[in-house]
Amino acid sequence: MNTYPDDTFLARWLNGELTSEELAEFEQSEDYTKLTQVMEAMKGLQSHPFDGRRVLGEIKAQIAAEKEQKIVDMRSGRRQIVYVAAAVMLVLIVGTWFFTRKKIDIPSQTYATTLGEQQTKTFVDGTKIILNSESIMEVAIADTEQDRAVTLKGEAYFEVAKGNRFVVETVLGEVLVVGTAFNVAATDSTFKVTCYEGKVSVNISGVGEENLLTAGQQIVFSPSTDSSLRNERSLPDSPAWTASGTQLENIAYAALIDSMQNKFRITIETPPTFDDEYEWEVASFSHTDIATALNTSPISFDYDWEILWEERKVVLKKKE
Amino acid sequence: MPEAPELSVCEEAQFDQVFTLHAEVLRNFCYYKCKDLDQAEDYVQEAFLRLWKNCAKVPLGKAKSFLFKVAQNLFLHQVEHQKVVQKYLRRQAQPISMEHPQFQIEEQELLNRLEEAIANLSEKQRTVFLLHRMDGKSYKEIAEMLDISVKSVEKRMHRALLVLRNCIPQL
Repeated sequence: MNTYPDDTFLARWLNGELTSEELAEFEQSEDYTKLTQVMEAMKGLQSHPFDGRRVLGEIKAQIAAEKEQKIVDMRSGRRQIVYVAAAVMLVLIVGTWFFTRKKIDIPSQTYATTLGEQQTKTFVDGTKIILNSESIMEVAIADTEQDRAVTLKGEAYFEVAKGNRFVVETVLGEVLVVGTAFNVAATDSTFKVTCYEGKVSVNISGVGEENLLTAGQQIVFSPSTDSSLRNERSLPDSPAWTASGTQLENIAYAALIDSMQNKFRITIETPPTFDDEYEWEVASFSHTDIATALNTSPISFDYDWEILWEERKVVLKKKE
Repeated sequence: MPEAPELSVCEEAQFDQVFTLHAEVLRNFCYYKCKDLDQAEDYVQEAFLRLWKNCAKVPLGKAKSFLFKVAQNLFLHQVEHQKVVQKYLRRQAQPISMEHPQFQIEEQELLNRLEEAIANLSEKQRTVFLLHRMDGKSYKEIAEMLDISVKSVEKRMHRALLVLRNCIPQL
């Protein structure tokens, strides 16, 4: 019987990835003779036919049927309340901010994200902006002759296409660029700019000097100490938070719960029977929002849950 | 800066396109997992229905992985899997052969053993093996469909081959 140098050897053979020495040696073996016969025999088999037209027709019919009877299902009532609550919250946040911000005259478009949500926006000039959770940005819809301007509160990652000046305004300062990739985290208490590509110029409000950042540099300003700190470090291509989902391998249930708690800054309450040690070979969850995350994670196989938005808490219940 | 219009699966043309591109492999994927053609077709329908319902949230580029994830979840949720071992594949129509009858019998016997061995592979091994051999998917594509690493795909393939070699009697 053959012994193999590693546990992917045959997969690599099948894909023609073996080195010529490996192949020459393998061809001498009994397994090689057997497996080539197996592969030859496979040619005598074929897949079952697939009637795509019929299946698509059935799907369309079902969609049409569901549209017709869109009566509010009593079971989904509670979930709808949650959606309504989220929408009301969103309106409140945007509204408050809208009326307290300084007025600008040019027409603009506002984008806002709630907890755990991210939005990716691509604009006609090719500029891409990823808005992190709990952030608001307003993008001026000016024509191309003018500066491109974004007002930001929260965190966003920018990949700015070459062109006119691009300005990000925040409470504590502004960032000026031409064409580059950078991240801005702006709250009332900190202003952090990280440059991933090209150059950006950072002006801190009330401080005269201009700070020029090149790729890999970061500046953090905190008004409480009225000081700014420059860092230099090796960075990935884009900030870690822009990855759209978390994927974990060989992870215990407890660690998976931890990872979700951290991502969404919530508490997940597990029932006493919860098996912390149980290990998943692969577990992943979406970063879209907590409900989607739960739905896409293996937790959904064994548990139902209730999301208590005000307490930022999720309560898991064993499925009956 | 006006926002660039994004192609959306909410538009019927895009939805149909996604269906044409992925439905058949998705059906096979489900079939390899659940051992039941009708069930596999139901999963395909359900996955596309959910895609339609979530079309505003799923960008076109993510539609494929969304479909496979839904199908995978549907399969995992299914409490009782069919216990009946089905034949995974059909035999090609036999061309009139000039070969010696004895040889033809041996060939049929080999196919019998092969079909049985494929049906008895673990669900994970079988899915990887058949997606690669029957649907011509690369290890990378399979990894994306299953949401696992390429390395894991290769390991499953290696193990599948170790099992299948036993279809051939000792020389």
